[in-house]
Amino acid sequence: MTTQTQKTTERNESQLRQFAANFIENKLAVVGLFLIVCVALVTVFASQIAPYSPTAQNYNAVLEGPSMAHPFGTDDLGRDIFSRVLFGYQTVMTITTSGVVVAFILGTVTGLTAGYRGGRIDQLLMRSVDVLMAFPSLILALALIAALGPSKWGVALVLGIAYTPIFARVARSEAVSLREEQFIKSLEVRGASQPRIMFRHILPNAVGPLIVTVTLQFAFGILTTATLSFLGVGVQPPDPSLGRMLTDGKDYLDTAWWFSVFPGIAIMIPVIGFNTIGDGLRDTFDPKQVNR
Amino acid sequence: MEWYEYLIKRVLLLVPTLFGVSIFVFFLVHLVPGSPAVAMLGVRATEERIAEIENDLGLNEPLPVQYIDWFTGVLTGDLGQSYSFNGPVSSILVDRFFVSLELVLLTLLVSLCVSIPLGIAAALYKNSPIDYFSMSVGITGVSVPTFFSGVVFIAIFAVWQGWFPVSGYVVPSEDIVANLRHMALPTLTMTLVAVAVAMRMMRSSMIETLGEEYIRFLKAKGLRRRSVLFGHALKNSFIPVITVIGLQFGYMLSGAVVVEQIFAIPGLGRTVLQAVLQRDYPLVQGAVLLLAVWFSVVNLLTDLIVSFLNPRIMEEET
Repeated sequence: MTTQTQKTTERNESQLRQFAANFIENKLAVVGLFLIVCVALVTVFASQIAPYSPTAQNYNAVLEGPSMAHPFGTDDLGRDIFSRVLFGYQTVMTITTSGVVVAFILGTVTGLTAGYRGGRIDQLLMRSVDVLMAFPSLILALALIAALGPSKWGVALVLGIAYTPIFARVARSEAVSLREEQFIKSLEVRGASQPRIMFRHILPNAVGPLIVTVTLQFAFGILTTATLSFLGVGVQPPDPSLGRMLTDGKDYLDTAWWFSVFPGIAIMIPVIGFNTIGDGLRDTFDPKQVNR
Repeated sequence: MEWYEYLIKRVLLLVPTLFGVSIFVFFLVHLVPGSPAVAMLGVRATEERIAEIENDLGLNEPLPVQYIDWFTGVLTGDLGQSYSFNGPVSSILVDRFFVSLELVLLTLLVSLCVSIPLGIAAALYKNSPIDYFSMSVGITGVSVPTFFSGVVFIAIFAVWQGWFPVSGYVVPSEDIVANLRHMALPTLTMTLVAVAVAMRMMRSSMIETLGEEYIRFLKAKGLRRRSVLFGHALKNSFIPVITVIGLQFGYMLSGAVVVEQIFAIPGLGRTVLQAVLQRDYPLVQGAVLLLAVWFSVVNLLTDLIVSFLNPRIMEEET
């Protein structure tokens, strides 16, 4: 066992270095990483950075254009759009992170169990996954919201359910190919328990494709959360939400473009970030693909 | 495995999935906290009205009986009554289905016309300005929220330039020109996303094919560049693109919700949204079911086309 673990760590270290070198070569992905770090920082420190309260109304400064006092201008109630964007990031990132974590846990457990156990359990689990996959993801989200009612945590739960199948498929295909490997077979002979094999030995080896999935689902999750808010079935006021700001701002596009353009761009930044990182990671994990 | 055997196998696999879909859609109503009738009518509804709706929805029967009743209805085309539109769900859905179908087909057509040439050009001239252009279209397409691009297109092409109407819909049989003018901006909005994905796939698939042994052999044999490209490489590069377009279809149906809402087009997507907002459960169920069946059938067709073009896939899957 010890030699096995040692070998694995050694291999992991050199792989990690190689991996980092390959990743840095992909300039687009590095730009993406930079965008994500920036978004993460302003999200965490929103209340320190924001010059105003996101809900403070000022009727003397309604629909004012960008200025030193209001870098992104103000909205129809005189609220500072820059501050609202920062707090909007908090909302969307909280929801997306929770959703992706839920999907990761549910999907990975389902997929690893299906792939490792095989047989009837595999059939049953993957048929259920197929059922969820039969719905276009936004339609599934809308259907669940119809039942659960619109709310912040409702959206997180809905994302979790809607993205479970993707993680399940990725985890399953990794588990199926690893199941037959020599080191798993020898662990079985030594009497390691099934959960131990699945989570201590198969999962670490499946981590690459899963990380790619996590980054890409983050991009989708941010878009979906914003879309649901835009449609009026997601985050409800007074929680600041980037999608909702566009709903309100779109009627002022010819007179106050900043009202919708800044929130729109704000949504795009982390999505571009996660998409380029996801692509970069995929190329790095799977150099055979010529996606560059 | 023969192709028809594969076809039968795939169709049979669809049966348990659609059965699961029907159970899921049926139970949606039962996920509603409290009584769906109260949720639909609001807290100020009278006792009698609530009892009436509960009776209409068959909520007083035991669950298996309810499911069988509902499912028999689905099979015979009876999806119940819509409360917000005052009519049978099935006839509402039929009208709206064709509106969405037009939008999706137009998007498919335009996006293929743009993405395939652009993808090929990007693959042939790797790291040239056209490749960088295609790459930036690719990243923008998947990163811009549909509702943002839609709103920006309205501002530029409808409000500012006045080339197209801001929103609305005209039935094609009434006035095809007006219909297309109304469909132009919605199609453009949806195309941006569709082009991004299909084009990137076309590009990477073309690059991969061009690197294959047999293409190099054909070149070495002295075949003209054009006939290598269009006679051999193109056909094989198409296969993954078709798969991607099939998968894209789900995103298109999702995107249709947003686009139809922004442009006030009475399609299926907008109907789902309105039904959700109105808590019109029979209509939610019917529309969601129809969209899931539609998506599943398109996926099946995509798999069949791909396996027809590349019989090796049938072997890999068995």
